[in-house]
Amino acid sequence: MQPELSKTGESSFVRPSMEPTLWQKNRPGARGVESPGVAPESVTSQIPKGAGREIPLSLPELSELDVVRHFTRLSHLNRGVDTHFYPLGSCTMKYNPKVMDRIPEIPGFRDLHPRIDPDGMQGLLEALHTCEETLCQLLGMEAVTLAPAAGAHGELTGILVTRRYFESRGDKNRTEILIPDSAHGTNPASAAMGGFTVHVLPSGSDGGVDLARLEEALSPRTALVMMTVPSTLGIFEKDLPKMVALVKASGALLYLDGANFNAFIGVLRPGDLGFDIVHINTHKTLATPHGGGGPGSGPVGVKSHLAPYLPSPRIRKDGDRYSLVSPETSIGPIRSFIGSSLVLLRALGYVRMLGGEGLRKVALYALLNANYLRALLSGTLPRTGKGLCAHEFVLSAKELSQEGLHASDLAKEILDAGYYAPTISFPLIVPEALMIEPTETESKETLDRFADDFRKIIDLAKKDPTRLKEAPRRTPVARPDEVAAARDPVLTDPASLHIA
Amino acid sequence: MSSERRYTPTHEWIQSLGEPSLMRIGITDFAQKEITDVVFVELPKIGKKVPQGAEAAIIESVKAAFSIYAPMGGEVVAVNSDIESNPALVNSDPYGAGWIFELRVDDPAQWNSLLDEKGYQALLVSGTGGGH
Amino acid sequence: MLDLLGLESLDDMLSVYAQSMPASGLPDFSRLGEGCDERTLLEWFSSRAKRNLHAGRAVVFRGAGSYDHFIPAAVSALIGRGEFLTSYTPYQPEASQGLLQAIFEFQTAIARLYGMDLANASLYDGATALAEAVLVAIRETERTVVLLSEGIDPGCRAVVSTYLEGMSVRVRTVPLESGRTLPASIAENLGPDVACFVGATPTFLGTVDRFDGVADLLHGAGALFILHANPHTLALLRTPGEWGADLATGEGQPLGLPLSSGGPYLGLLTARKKYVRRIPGRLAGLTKDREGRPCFVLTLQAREQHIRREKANSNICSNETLLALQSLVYLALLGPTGLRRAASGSWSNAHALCRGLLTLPGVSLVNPETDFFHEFVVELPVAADSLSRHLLSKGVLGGLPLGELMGPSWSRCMLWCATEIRTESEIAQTIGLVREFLGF
Repeated sequence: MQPELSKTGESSFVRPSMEPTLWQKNRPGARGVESPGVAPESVTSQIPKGAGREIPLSLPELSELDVVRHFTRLSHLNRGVDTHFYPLGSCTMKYNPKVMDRIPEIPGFRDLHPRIDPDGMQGLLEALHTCEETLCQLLGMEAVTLAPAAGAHGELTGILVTRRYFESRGDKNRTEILIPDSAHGTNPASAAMGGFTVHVLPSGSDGGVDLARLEEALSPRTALVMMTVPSTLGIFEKDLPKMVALVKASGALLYLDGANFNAFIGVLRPGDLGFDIVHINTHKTLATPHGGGGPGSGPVGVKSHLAPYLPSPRIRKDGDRYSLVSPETSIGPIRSFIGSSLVLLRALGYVRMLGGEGLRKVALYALLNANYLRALLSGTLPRTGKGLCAHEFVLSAKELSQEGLHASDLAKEILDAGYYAPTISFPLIVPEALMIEPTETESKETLDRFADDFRKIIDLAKKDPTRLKEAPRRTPVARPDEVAAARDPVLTDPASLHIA
Repeated sequence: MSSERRYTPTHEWIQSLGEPSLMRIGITDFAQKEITDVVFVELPKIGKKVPQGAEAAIIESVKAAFSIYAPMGGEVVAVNSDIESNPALVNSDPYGAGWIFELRVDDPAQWNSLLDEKGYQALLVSGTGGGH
Repeated sequence: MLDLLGLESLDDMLSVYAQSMPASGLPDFSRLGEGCDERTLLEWFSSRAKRNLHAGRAVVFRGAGSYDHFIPAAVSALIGRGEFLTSYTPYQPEASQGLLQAIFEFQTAIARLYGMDLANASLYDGATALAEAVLVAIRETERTVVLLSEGIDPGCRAVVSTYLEGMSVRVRTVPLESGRTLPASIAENLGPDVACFVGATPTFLGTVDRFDGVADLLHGAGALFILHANPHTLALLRTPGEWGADLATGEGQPLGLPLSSGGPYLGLLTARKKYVRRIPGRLAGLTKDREGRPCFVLTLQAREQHIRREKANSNICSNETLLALQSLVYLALLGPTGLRRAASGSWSNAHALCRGLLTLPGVSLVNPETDFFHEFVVELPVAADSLSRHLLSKGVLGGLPLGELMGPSWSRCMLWCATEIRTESEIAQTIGLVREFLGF
């Protein structure tokens, strides 16, 4: 498939709601913003023969206003928390105070070179060291690395630290990591990247880890057990203390995937619960908006027996002076420089602004909103778990399959009702899952309205399922052909090959 | 080809190509329906040795990936490059043009461990087949 | 709300945690303080920021992986829009066409800049992008030796080693000769177990390396050719695509991202079409909707962790999408003319700085036989770190002293950089400060 977009750079396909690509908008000779520099002719003659670029530099030529309108129009084709209720489960799409956007704009941080001599970065190192200490207190851990760039990167870090720890003890048999079948896909993928074998733990009938299966799976080969708390079904494991005891007795380490940290921030600490390693996603819980998929950061906290192995560089404090050091025992660097500093400063800012009691309320309101919405939706679709849920809950649309409908059809109708859609098809252990996480920042009125609309959508699904098959109607495009996209991928704009 | 097809509980079929040690492998009609539209098949390298039951290929749909296991152990001697450019063949003709790879099998006796047509149909009815 | 749940107070929600409560009871979080208002918060950060010698207080003549380039004002205005900033990964294409199209355009711009067939939607930073490219080569070839040019940033090489920690893979370094990779040095290390060779353009030391015949050499041995390239320099230099690379990576920070205290940065990964199903990270693709309208979706997702779990190409989930958008806006605002002008400015300023420094007695150029782009190494008659401290005290972030990174034999060497935004007077003043320190 080769859609006839753009061979000539013309925008014939474009409906009013769509926007041509930058290359389709190319206006030869147009100039955007003048950059400092010199005319290329004075330099290209100095580049040694055969080492210069000979192919065209196919970037679009546009004015500043062309560019501003282009991206402003694209923004209108996109939904965010600032524009819509975004109940996307497991992603914690909450509103973050705008003052946090000001912190990374402070020139002393924004324009600081990471390879400056330590004398020139004392303020940064103090702030980041404070961030480490703050996270230690929040997590009940004894050391924190700020290096990981995202949650999955934190997982890989924790796994490599685990490997080093057992190596240092001369224990070469621990080659296996146990992961519940309800876990995020990043857990098994990170374990594999770290060179471990993945052993999947099947969930019990209530969606929690089955104690007997865990006991059976633990062996002298087990290096690490990775748990998500609360689980991806939005449930606190009822046997957590027993599980912790079992894992400890086996000699394996215990990892907490803190993707769902928003459910217990300011209330519980993974360290107190017996975990050796935890990562959190600061872009979920600590005031960095998701940015369409990043940047985030995934700091990792560990107990003291694992601290020597954390990635380099480490921030060291001697009196009032800070420096960067690379301990011999470290697994080495896992990314460039210290960490995603500008993201981490926001996290610190959020904790400082809310304080201990404010953070406790974040968790309790996240729980209250989830439970309130779950109660409002009772009787619509079957839900997972009894009693109260944590910060999110899972419904199953399996009963609608007799009408020929899937969770994805409901999602499209929800888009038409003026919301972003819940997470669908995850966790994999619930058929036709819809995972809903309202977060603490939504008002009662928003939840009431969403519940009303959701109820209407379920009624419609039962009465007139074909209508849902036709959804969405109000979005700029509807039901893109994903099969065609994957069979013959077009990943760059064909129009870019026709300009020089 | 008129020779008998045998099956696995993981929904692969296998059929002799005339001589007893040369076998062609694909997925069943039931499997292609479960997978829905096939968008890509990751074929094994020719010359690769695969034990019985080992993953030999991967079939991708838009939202899932499915392992294809070798029904018998052997060496991969051919792959169906037509399905690289036209993966839809796996859906439209799973027993014919949508075949996946061919094996020179090590132990023809493994044939006897596989399900015959009747056994496979019974498995589909009982719904106890293994997932991909 | 509480009534509906049969609860009396917000604290009744605590019952959710009952089973997980530690024996010691609820922890005390009072050490985290009582919170503060916006003004107090910003004051705390501003007072720390005052102790940092940022680019506004110390003129930057240092690169080594982070570059002080011009960034148009429209960049932050556009990427700060809430529709982009507060959206998630575009899994619902109907509600995410804006971002999907931007990612598609980013992939296009980066692929064209690198002269490659395609690019992904970004990785964490240049170093992790390089590590991921090496993993692609290992998976593709099922081989166990990786050759890294000595010209790659030692920090990036260390990250590659960390990523390979859990695998039975050996890393060998191919030395530079006068700032260049000799094909013979690669050939010496080639064997049936070599998965790939990775070169750098320009090298960490600033030299413009060449790779004539390298692609054929590697392909003949069944190995992949990977290049790690600074995208700013590709406006003028021969691209990874022209050198015949199979995969190419880079740090996207020079494309419109501030120095950012080291992060977040932007990992670039590009590839030949034949590796499209091998590469990690998200990809936006063009398709049509049910009414035949061209539109965009995330595609080839069956490679990724949320579907393939332990068999995925990578564990990456969150990437650096907003920064990809940032670099796209930068490239669109500068256009081909602006980018060439900026790169030419960097070349020209760095060469002016170099000429000035070489007029000082006892200062010599390392690798004088090989051209450099906008970074170069000089050897000084004194310890480089003492000069660096002196310059910083005078408001100049001078070249990077290389002793710590490269070993004691480099302790009198300094890696300098000048970008397009340095002025003649800044260059002259800095040369003057060096002269003064050397006692002339």
